[in-house]
Amino acid sequence: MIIVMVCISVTLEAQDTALWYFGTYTKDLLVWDEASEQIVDRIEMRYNIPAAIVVNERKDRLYVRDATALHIEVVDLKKLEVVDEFTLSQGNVNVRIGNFAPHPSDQKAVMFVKRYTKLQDRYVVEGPFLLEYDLTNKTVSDTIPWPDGEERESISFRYSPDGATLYMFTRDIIALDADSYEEIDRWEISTPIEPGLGRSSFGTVSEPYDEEGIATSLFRVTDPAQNRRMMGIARVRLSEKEVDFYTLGESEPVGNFSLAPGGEKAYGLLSQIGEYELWEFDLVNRRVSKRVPFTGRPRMSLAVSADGERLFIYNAGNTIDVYDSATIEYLRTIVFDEDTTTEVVIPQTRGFTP
Amino acid sequence: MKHIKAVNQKAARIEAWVAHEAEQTQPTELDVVGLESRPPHEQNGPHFPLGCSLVFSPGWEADSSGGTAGLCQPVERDIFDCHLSCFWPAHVPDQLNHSADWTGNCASAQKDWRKLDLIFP
Repeated sequence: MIIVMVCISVTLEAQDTALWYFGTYTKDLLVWDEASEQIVDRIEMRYNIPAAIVVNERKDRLYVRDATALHIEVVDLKKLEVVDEFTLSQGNVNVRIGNFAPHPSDQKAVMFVKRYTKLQDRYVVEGPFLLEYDLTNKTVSDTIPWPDGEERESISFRYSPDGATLYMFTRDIIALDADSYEEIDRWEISTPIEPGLGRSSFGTVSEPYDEEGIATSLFRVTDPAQNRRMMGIARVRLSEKEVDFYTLGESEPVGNFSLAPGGEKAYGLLSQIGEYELWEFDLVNRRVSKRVPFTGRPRMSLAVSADGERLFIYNAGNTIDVYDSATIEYLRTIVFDEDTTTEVVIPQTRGFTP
Repeated sequence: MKHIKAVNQKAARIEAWVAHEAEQTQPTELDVVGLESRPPHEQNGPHFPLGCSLVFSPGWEADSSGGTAGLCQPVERDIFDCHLSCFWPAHVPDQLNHSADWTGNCASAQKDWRKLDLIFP
């Protein structure tokens, strides 16, 4: 008996994996286990085509918007089922929900909406509006003023991890008090971040394998002396308004930057018509360590596995192409029965529990 | 072709000022564009003020870089995404009001595209 238990503990030793939650063009949300490369669960939604997924701060629930943008369903990740839903639409009034950001407490959320009232002979379109929504009482609890008084056709926003600040991403990044919605700080990224530099661009959303509070991304800046666009890597700490960056060379059409676990490597995709390359970035020695041409296609997303050993290329369709991250060699293609819409990746460490 | 020339000092100063301004202005700022207000990071790319499903305008449909070569290959990979957000060079049913379950009988366009319903407006 003891021998059997020892054998089990060896084979089930701690293993890093991640669960991917894929929306599909059916009612199902797929739960895909990255280690086994298998669909391990399906969550049946109440409305067709889960089209946008937001994971909460505690990573124990998903907010899923359907394709009509009329409903948001709440998925409990422990029960793996829909436990709640809400809509702002009623009768002949459709309220379509654009961006949605839940507060870390899951008590309220901010959403960007437009209201469409169907009359006998026409539609009346009102908005857009920025609303605070009470998730407990399911009522609109406040209207948030537009940053700088400028109404916009789209805007992104999110709460700080402690829930005290609501960040609005406009030409600048505006920090609002999460209760009063008064401006408490502003990061003027529309102007050069350092004197002598041209306009720069960088990401502020953390990758699944970023350190907490850090967002690592591709960084681009115009070199005003040579009048050319340079490319590099930035580590951004939004709460401190800090950007640490270095350049790697002239800007090239590389995107889909994906940080590997451990933060020592990252990958990106160079995508031009008929020309595709997988890039490996060595973040320790600050250089591009590999550029490998491969058979790509126009629309691709890239992700690194939780163990750092595989790269996944997916998006637009029902497949995931798996590559070896060390050799950038194609390994296999995983085929689903459904085309996928969008996904969230939640890393987890599995250990043996007797 | 230059049709007029400065004949006095003031006109010469105006001509010099206009030439100086033209030198200082970036070529992109001189473009005449319509129906657009593009964000700074898209300054050099194409901009489509209307989605291709909203107007029937053959030739208007294009990929995000302004051509057609960037559209998904095979096209079946794109057709469902076009149902939600249009970049495919064809008209697909509107999922917001009329054909929300258009993909209901065909979970994967590449595998089951024959099962897609034809929609007649």
